[in-house]
Amino acid sequence: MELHLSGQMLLLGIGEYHLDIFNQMLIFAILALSLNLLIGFGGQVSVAHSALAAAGGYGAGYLSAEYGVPYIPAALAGVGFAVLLGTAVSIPALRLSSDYVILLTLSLSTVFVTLLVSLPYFGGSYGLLGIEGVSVFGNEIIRPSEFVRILLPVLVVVFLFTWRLGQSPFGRLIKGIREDEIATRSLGKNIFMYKVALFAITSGIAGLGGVCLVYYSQLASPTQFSFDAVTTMIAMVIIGGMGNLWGSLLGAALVIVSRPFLEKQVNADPEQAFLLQLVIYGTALVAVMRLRPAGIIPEGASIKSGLIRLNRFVTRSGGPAAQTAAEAADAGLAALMARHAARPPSRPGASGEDISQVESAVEVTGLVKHFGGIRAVDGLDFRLAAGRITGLVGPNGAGKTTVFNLITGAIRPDAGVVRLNGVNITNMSPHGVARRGMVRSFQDVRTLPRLTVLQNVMLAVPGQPGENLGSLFFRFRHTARVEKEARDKAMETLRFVGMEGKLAFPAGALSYGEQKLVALARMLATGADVLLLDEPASGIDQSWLDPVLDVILQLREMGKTICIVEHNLHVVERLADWVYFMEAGSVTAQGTMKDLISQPRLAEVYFGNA
Amino acid sequence: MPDVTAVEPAPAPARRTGDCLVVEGLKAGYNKRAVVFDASLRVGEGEIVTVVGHNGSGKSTALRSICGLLRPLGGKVSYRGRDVSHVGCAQKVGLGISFIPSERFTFGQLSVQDNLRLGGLHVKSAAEREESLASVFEMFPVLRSRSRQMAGTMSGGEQRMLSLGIALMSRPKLLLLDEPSLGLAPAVVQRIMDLVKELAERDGLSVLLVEQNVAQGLRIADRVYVMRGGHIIVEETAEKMRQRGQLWDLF
Amino acid sequence: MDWTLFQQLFVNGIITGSRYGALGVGFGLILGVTGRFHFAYSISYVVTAYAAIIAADHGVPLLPALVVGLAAGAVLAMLIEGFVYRPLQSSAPTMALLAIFISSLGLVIVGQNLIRLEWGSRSKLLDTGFTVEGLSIGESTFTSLDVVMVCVLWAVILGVWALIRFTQPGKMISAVRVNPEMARVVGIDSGRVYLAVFAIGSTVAGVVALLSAMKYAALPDMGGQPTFLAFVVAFLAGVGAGPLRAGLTGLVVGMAESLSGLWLSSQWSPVVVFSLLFLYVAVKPLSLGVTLPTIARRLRTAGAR
Repeated sequence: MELHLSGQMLLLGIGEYHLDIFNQMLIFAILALSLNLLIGFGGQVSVAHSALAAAGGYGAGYLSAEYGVPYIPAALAGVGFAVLLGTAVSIPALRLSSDYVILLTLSLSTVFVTLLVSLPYFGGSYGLLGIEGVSVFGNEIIRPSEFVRILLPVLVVVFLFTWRLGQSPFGRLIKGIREDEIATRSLGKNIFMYKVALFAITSGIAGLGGVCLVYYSQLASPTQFSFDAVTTMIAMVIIGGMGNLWGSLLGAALVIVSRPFLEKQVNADPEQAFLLQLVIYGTALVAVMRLRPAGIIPEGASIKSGLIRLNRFVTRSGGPAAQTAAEAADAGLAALMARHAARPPSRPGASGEDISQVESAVEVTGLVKHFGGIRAVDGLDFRLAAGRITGLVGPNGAGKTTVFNLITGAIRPDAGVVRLNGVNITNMSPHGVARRGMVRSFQDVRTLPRLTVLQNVMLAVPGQPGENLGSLFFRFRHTARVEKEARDKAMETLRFVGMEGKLAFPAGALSYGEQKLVALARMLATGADVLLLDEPASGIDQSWLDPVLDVILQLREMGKTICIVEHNLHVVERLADWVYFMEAGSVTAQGTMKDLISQPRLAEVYFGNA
Repeated sequence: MPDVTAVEPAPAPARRTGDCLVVEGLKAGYNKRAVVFDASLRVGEGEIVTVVGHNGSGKSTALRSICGLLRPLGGKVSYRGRDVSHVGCAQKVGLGISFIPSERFTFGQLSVQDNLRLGGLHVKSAAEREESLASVFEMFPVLRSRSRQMAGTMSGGEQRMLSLGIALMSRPKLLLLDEPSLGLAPAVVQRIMDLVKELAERDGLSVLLVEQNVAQGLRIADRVYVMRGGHIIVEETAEKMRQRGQLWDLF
Repeated sequence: MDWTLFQQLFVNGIITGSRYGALGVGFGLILGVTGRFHFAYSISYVVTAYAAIIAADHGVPLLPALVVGLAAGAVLAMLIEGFVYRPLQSSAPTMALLAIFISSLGLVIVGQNLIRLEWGSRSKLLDTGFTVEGLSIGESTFTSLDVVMVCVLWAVILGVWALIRFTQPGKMISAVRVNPEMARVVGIDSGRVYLAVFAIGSTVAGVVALLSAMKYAALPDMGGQPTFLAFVVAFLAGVGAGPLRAGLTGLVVGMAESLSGLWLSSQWSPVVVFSLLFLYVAVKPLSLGVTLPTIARRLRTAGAR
């Protein structure tokens, strides 16, 4: 962005010069933080933030220059306009897929700046002048040293705000969406609202940055918010490290300081130094993406963790990092096997009770779903007996996973009724169904890799005020207390599955079997009574099977209603109290596994006939 | 956990000496996560070998690692004595190994003829390619009559035949088939399996076939492997397996 | 309705629509086959124009200078694919979309500003080599250069269509686009196909750039607007749509933008294009749900080996 030095400042000596640079750093830091919140924490890519900053800056500037609106209401109006614009543009894209955000924000950026140049109301390429100066208690703020007293507190407030957001349950949820939207939604979170909220917040902060820039330079011009500007913003965030707020400050500092640095070192004139600066940012973007996508400072890093790493490197001591992943997994497995042996044997499946006497937790009647010409589910009836494990088996393509998707609301059925504890949940959204007490696991596990095991499970605990912005900023004690309760609950479930020793590990670093256990803990933490397990035995080695199946049996002991879709029939035999056999979209047989095996027709269906 | 113990492998039928394909200790999966652990199998020259197992047992993953669409995480794959563990799928065509996927096995938006020509990309001379094409049309007359039609508009069975035709264009020695019966009506499955057997006998092809439909897979096979939970739990002759009363224990 | 204005706007619409169509064809080919969000499309655009102008300035006759420009743009695009995008795909497959896009951004900034540093920000004109005459049909006016432009652009669009449809390399490209896995299965080296597609796509962009340099002038940031339009047209036509459909979509977009001048002043025309895109994204979730997941799938299968 171009620096607007008024003649006055040049006369005031070196002190002001340095403070001027410092002020620019502060403003840029605000912009970097807004973008980091969206890209780093939220995982969305937006190219529109310079346009949003422009919306804020021009909005305030226009009101000031044309209508003489004093700076505080004008600033608020500018920020408000930025929020509105950002939200309006992002809503259609966020509803579809986060990748569409790139397309629409790119378009917004291009179009907005073009408009700013071509429309006469905004002063064209020269921009808006005549913006009212800022004055506090009658004293006009002109010099950089005076502006510092306003800009620094603003940055501190913004930093604390974004920091608090990042640390909070709200931030955890946002990161969850970043890691795996579908998994997060299945835990009962309305991800669309949170994505929109995040976009709105970051738009507002960007707008605030734009307002500061415009009032500081007493000018609103298109060059301040050009394509170069947005790339500079992205460079600050990427270089400093996505998801790391201190990194954004560092990035802003580096970016701002680089121009005077270049001017002095390379002896370039201001124009050339500016261009050279941009070339360096561009190269840095490419290089960082290639070599170190996490940025100079990775997410979650702090001074403390950096020192620990440094210490280990220097002393070449062992510690958890020295173990290979396989060794760690084996050690963990051994501990789990020991627990499994120590637990009292669970009641085996198919104990001979009359299942029809048990009440239903879930009832499905007449479920139908066609995809194009294919009848994936064609008049399906079944029920899940409360507190029992029900199995769903059938040849490939019989429609079993589709059934899970239909009853949890991930896809809409064409016909049929689904009742959960008597309540009709047929067309409810996935997060609604989860809140009602039915959650599902995924065939491919879907833990949130960059969040710790503890965070993964805490995310699942329902009813957290910390996910609500109002409670987060205005009801500290209440939020902190409930957060502690959530933490205790999460620890309890982790202990139940035997994964409490790994609570601080990022979930992505765990072995597959361990991740399956964490996923089970996560389901337990939601407090749901009905658990749908999609192929719980798939993808894990023999030795992991016992601990996982043991946990599932223990869950039944707790009174949970469980349904498993499984192809490994030995597992079904071990677990299920009752089994439904699905064939071409409907149930054609039910009974215990023994009953089903004894029917030759089913053997033909399952294994084909010659 | 598996309560069926491995059976003594019977000697392979002596049609030709030597093995076409030998897989030792294969470890395979996605994103460095294994779903196949330590699988070993072999296909003799001119043999038809079928691998069966429950859905998710790892059979397709194993096949895709053998053919090179997935990089194996461990183990060794040898083709006619040569280590091809890290040879990519595209290069294997030139060696005489053809793979047919279980889904999306044609270029739906291209014509039948274009599909077949693409199968013959690696054939050295244009004349040889035309010969292959003629031979495929002879084997599958329905493809000739539809040669200008868009592949995706044909029925499932016809597309399956097209996929076989595409694989045959490069004159392979080893055919790797992933669930050829998927999505097909029983009568069509029967026909396709018969065709595979005919082809194998006519051209002396070795075939490694992964199948969900156990009965059909057994019908044309010489030998059978059963996979469960990422491991091979049984290896025996097809004859012996056909004599088993029931197969539930294996799944 | 003001018929004079309508006629002029209609003719303008054909001219700009042809440009947009060509841009959409080139970019759509790259996006449809490789799935890369190749924002650095604008760099090939700029480099083609500048290379041709520099060559002409150094005394190279017109036609060879044009070829030099096109070659420079194409080579640059291939280098970007081979040395930036591909390594990113294999080193960070989960972040590929984001990483490639951000690297693209970086490349654009580097390119634009290196050009600014070396040749300044003032415009440079490319000599057409023939005298441009004013022409008119009815009440509308245009130039002979415009006629040449429209003819050349549609020749290029049809040329790309014919290449894909009738030649063997074209069929290999189609194969990779239609079914990347099967393409590998039959032995097609998708790496080479990607390079070819980048070359073709940027050549098409280069043609538009050269014509633009002749008509208006070359500026360091001349690539921004055309790339934006290329994106929009490619998405509106549908990812994986053929050249003809992309070309026609571009024509429609250009026409809509131009004819909007009957009601809005020309300053607002970028908003028209944006609104078209916005409406499309907002109103048609079902069919659009197919396009970007398709890109994501392409990136995933491409990275599997």
